[in-house]
Amino acid sequence: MTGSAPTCPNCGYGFEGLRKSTRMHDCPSCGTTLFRETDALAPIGDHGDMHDVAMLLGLGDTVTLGQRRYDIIGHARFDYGRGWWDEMWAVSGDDGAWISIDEGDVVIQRAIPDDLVPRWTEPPVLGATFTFDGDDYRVTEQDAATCIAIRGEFPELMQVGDKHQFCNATGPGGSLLSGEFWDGGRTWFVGDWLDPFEIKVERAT
Amino acid sequence: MTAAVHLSSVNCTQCGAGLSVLGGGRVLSHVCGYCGAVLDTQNAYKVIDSIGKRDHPASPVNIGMTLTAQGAEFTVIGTIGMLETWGGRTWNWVEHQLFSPTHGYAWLSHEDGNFTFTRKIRDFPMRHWLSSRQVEASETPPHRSFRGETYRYFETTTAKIDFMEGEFNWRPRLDDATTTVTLLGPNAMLGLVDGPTEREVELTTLLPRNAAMADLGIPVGTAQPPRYHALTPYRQLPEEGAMKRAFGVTTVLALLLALAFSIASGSAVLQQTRIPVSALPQTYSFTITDTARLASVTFRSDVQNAWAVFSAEITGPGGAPILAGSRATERYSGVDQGERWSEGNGYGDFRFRPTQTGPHTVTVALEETGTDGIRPQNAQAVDLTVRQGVGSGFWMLVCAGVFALAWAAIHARAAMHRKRRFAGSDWTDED
Repeated sequence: MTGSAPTCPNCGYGFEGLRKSTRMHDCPSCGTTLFRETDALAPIGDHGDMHDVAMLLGLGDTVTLGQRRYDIIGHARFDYGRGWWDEMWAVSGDDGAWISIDEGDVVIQRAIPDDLVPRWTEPPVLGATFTFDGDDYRVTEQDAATCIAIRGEFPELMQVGDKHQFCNATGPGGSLLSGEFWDGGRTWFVGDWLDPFEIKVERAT
Repeated sequence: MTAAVHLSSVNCTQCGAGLSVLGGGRVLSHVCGYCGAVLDTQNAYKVIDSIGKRDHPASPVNIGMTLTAQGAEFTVIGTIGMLETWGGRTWNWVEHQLFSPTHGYAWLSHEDGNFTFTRKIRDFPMRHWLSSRQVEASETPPHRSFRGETYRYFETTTAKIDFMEGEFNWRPRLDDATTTVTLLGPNAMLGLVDGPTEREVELTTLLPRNAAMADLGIPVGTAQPPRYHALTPYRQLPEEGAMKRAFGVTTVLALLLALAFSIASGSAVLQQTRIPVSALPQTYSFTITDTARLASVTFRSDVQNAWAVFSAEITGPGGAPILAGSRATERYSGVDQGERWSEGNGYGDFRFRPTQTGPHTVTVALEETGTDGIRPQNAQAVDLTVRQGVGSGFWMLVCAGVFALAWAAIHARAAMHRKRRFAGSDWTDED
């Protein structure tokens, strides 16, 4: 946690207790998305409309997965044209992970270091197979998405309106590789499917 | 993906009928219940196939009904009629696609009056996949472990679709066949589904019938009475676990007490050693002071490869006979194929319950004697001991037997339930 309390340059709202790892967050007062610089916050846009729908877990909830408890501190929503899915930034101590929720399909993933990512620089086609970390994966989904709303804190820069292509590749034993591709960059994540019926959620009060 | 826009209805692009949209963004097809057109929900509801007008399979569940299963709220969004034909017999059942905005897609099945809830699981280790071919090659019912429970082979089903209506998160086709190997666990069934394009693992649980019907809004009296289902839960007796432990512990305790009572030897009131057999019969006096417990008469003779039967006649304080008894004493030994063996210990005894305290007599006599084996020795002398205050483990043994029966009955009840669950299995030892 930081010792100082930065304020929103747009409305002056004060932020107590931002995590050191937080690179950006939204202002709950005025809805401005804020990028965290060394000792100040810079406005980078609007935080978008987050339509209220029934969700398995949400911002402020605490989730127990196995032996670990995660606090959900960030919530981003991505539109793919015909629908959307939600990405939750979950932290447990110094550990952070993305929990993706898509109509009962829940997966927890962590970013793969750049030197270990799969070789693809463009999204592999549907059905493509490749090996990662000794396991065989098969691309089962490929599409494009746009970030339409963000709430809370995030470890990386995200902006409403950001577009990227993505792919999901299924591996053995319930593991899932996901790749995100945009002009000049890519990120890969790896993790496991979660059973929505086994997730214990403590709702934010 | 979560539906971007909440559509409440669309018009069938083939017949124009209004169709309710109840599923989410991952719905891939919508089958018109009026004309049978199969519509591509991901491509402007274009017609991609048609099943024509077909009879709706019998099911008390209708599209649009809602229920809560395993804590999540679901809406019935589709209906599939399944048909299995094997050995000249035909089975029909109905499966309904469910949708929950938070928990995704699942299935509600109605068969033989029972409702089951089935959902896809992703954490089954696929390297432990069990195919129907592997089942046929197995000599014993195969089993698999999942989430700490053991699932044992139950049945193999190859079924095809003969009806469909509503929304689905896949694209079903008429006559598409799937083979499902079902394993039965303590509280659920594992279905290993080998479909036309992929393999999936499903977990099925039995829903409490009346609660499910009430939830769905189906009057209980209108549905067919349920038949026994393999997932019917075992109904424990009140405090069954405590009873099992109690009966087990009391059985052991009763056995220990029976043993303790049996070896309680009391105190000797008469002890005569080395009475020459040639001098029998002989009469001895002793005094009984304890009538609350048993007394015993013990003979010990020095027979070797021989036997001798001794009798004892006991008189009470008034001089009248109160008891007469006899016991054989025998002892044999030898060498058989290089190994020494022995049998009998030369002892014989009986017990009686004295009714009066005071002076008693016992008259000992030799009744019969004989030999058997090499280097035999008839009885030359006999030791006589009379004890009082001797214990008996008989009634404790009876108690132990009763407790053990009760313990076994509870275990047998659970075992019978387990056996009944697998009674519907298609496994035969010839498989």
